[in-house]
Amino acid sequence: MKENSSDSLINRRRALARIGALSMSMPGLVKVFGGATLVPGLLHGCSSQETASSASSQLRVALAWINNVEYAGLFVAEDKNFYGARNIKPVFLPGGPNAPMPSVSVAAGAAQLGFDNDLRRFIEAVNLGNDFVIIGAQYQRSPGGVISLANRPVRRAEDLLGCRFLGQEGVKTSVDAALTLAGLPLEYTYLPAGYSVSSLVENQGDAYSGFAVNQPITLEKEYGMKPNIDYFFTSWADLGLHGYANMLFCHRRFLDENFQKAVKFLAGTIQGWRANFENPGLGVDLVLNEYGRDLGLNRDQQMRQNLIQAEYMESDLTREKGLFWVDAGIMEREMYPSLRAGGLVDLPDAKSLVDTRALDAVYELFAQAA
Amino acid sequence: MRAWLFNALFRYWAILILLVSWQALVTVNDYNSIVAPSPMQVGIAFLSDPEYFMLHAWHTLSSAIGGLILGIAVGITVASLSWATPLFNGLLMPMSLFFRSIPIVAIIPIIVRLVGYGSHSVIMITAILTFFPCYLLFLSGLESANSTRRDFFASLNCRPKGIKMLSFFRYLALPSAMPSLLISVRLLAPTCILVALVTEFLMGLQGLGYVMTSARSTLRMDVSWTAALISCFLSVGFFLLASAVEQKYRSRWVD
Repeated sequence: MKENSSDSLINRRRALARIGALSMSMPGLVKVFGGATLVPGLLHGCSSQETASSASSQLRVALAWINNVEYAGLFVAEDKNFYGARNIKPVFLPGGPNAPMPSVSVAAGAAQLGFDNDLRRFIEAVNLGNDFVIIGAQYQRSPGGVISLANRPVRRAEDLLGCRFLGQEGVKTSVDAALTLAGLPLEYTYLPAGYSVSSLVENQGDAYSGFAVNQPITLEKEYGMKPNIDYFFTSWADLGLHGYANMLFCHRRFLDENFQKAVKFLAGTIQGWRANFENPGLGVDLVLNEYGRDLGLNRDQQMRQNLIQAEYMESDLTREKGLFWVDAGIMEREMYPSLRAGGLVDLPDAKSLVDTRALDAVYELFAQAA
Repeated sequence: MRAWLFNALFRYWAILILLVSWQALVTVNDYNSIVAPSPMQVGIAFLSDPEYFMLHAWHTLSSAIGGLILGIAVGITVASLSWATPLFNGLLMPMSLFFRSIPIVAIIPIIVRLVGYGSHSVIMITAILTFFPCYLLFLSGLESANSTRRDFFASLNCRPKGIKMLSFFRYLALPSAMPSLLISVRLLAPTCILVALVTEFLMGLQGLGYVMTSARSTLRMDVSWTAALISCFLSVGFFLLASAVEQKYRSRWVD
């Protein structure tokens, strides 16, 4: 009898926890149907401490891309319990070509934190009335750039003139910005392309927008090409377009109301990335066997990507202050001119976009622990 | 005036409720426009540059109609050849089934690689994906001539096979197939718009599908949703037009 009552209590708690989770994942729906009064009513009987505890540990994080080694640090952090030890339990929402953009997920309340890989798009979301703030940046410079082959190499903005450019959604503005910054006319043919570099190899275009941590590895592994001989990778930064990528952001209100939660997530994440670079194989194994096991990823490619991305996560700033550091001054001085060249004239004060309080707190914690 | 308003309300109350619910959902949840623009924002986006939307809508519509006409022409030709020679039928049916069974998103990059970028590739993809239903329906129509008429034509020594085959085709099989052809046009009217949109979305440089994807990349969901809404109107409008044509002319060929 006692066992039955205990079981029923557990089942009831499970059911209530599910309702609670539902209310968190669909805030709009709950709001529309009067969830504000409905859910607390249903939760009556649960201890308030338990409810508060389960709610505080939940943290939904929208990723900008699929669950590959681009997020190895997060997966290592979870595997090594860097989050659990801080009493937080992040849920990662993978991105991809057809997934909602992280800024959309955060604006909709489906995620509390997001990684945005495009500074321009992030600022456009802010300009459209979203009070987002960047609390850290994974990549200090974008690994994005232009890939070309030896028969028509693109190494400077001038080389883009007259070329057939194969680009994905939103890339055209980057090509325009690179040409504008160099004072050149917008004379090229833009052709929509997917994420496979085969279109470039098959001569459908002369240049292809890709990522240093992705397509060049495919060219080397699958096509036997050699860098700077058979193919060329010129980063957008080399073409004058500077920008952070995979910026960790949230609503300013969320940061103010859940500052410790953000600090804990950031601390666990930075620890995870450090552990990943100490043992790059662990992140790759976690991606291949757990987080991205259905994605058909290649181990060699993922390992190479994991090693290459380390250089994009470092800068003079991170060498001085630590991983994930962001600086509003750098953004204003080095990144804003290229955004303006791309036609984004309505730029907010960079100081209003960056908040380093969480990073300060994280590195203070690390210093105390040391 | 009052009667006109009452009549409009009576006929389109469902659309009105849909718009009001949409606006309420966005307002109550305080959704930002990057999550879900309101009907008001969509309306403003359209009114701020109607020419832009109309130009792209025209590209989509012309590509869809061009593809539909080409698809129907190929469907009629292939069905007629299949009707005339069983050997041809045995060759074409598996090929048609093969094309039809490839998912549209897989076939688009292949066709674009073969024929290049531009409106002509949208027309070609639309034609490939619309010809098969037309082919099937038209072929079954050709074979559906009623037995009394067949007997009458046979008494004149006019049979599906033989020297008077062409006369049989022209005066009996073809009129029998016309209702099926009109049905296929009605069924394919919204499909051709959809195929044109998907092609433009994935590979296009113009058209409403292109507007949707380019607006999405700059988080202008109001523009993207406006293009989507115009596409809906095009689809429904084209379907209603095809239905009206079918209703008007079907009786000519039905007993």
